[in-house]
Amino acid sequence: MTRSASSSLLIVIAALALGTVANTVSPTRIPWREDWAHYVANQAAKAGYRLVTLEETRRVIEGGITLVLDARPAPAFGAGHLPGALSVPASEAAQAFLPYTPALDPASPILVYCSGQECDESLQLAEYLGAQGYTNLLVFTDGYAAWAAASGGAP
Amino acid sequence: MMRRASVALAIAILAVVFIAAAVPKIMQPHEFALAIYRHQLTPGGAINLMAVYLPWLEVTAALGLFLPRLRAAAAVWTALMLVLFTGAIGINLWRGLDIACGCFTLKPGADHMGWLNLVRNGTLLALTAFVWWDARRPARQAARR
Repeated sequence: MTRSASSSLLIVIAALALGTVANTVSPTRIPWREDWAHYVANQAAKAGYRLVTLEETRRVIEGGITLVLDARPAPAFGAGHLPGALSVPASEAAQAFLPYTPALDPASPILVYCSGQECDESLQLAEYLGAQGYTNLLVFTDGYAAWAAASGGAP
Repeated sequence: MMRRASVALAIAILAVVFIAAAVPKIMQPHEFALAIYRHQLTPGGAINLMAVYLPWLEVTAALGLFLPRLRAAAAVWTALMLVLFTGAIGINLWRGLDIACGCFTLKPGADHMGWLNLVRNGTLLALTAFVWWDARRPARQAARR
């Protein structure tokens, strides 16, 4: 083995050893594997938010009485969004949601979504709304990707 | 003399940056795993492994820069990590993802990534290349004789 290969190996082995020990003894250790594919759904369920399917989301939108919030950045919203949705990016929830707060009852149903299962912006927005006292939160975890696919790409 | 001082400075900067980046990730592995998840680039099964081992690779590579026998290899690993981080940031800026980098802090209100992150990483990559080039000088000189 060349000197540079053995040096590289030493650096990696040291990292693996230290990482293994640290994650075995640390009070903040994490599981070696976690179900990230269902992270948003699991966290939303733990927090008591109601998870809604595509069909339930369609009925909610047709019902017209639920506020629908898009948690994605504004450019993504501009490219396409659920009918009647308002843009409230999770990263700027406080400013973006401010205009709507005076007219809204804390028990009013609010549906939040982002791009899909792989994004947690809907969860972040739901957590913000929950902290503001809104109690009737619905999370559409399959997000805009599922809506667009079901609509044949049309918003 | 000038060259040795420049190399020492470059090594110090790189080591401080990488160790400063590693510490919060080691202290808060779940938050770092969440940051990796939000980048939407890593398969779910690899996220926690990356969250556990990547910060320690940052530490061992940073410390390796101080040892002449390990310096060239450490510079290569440093460069590879910088390419990885820069690629992730670049892809997500192109995708329009508005998220925090997770590079140096994992606090909830952290600044979101922008093009300056790429400039910063490009500068660090240049420093790394300089350290690697200097570490390889003895080998190049021996080859010429």
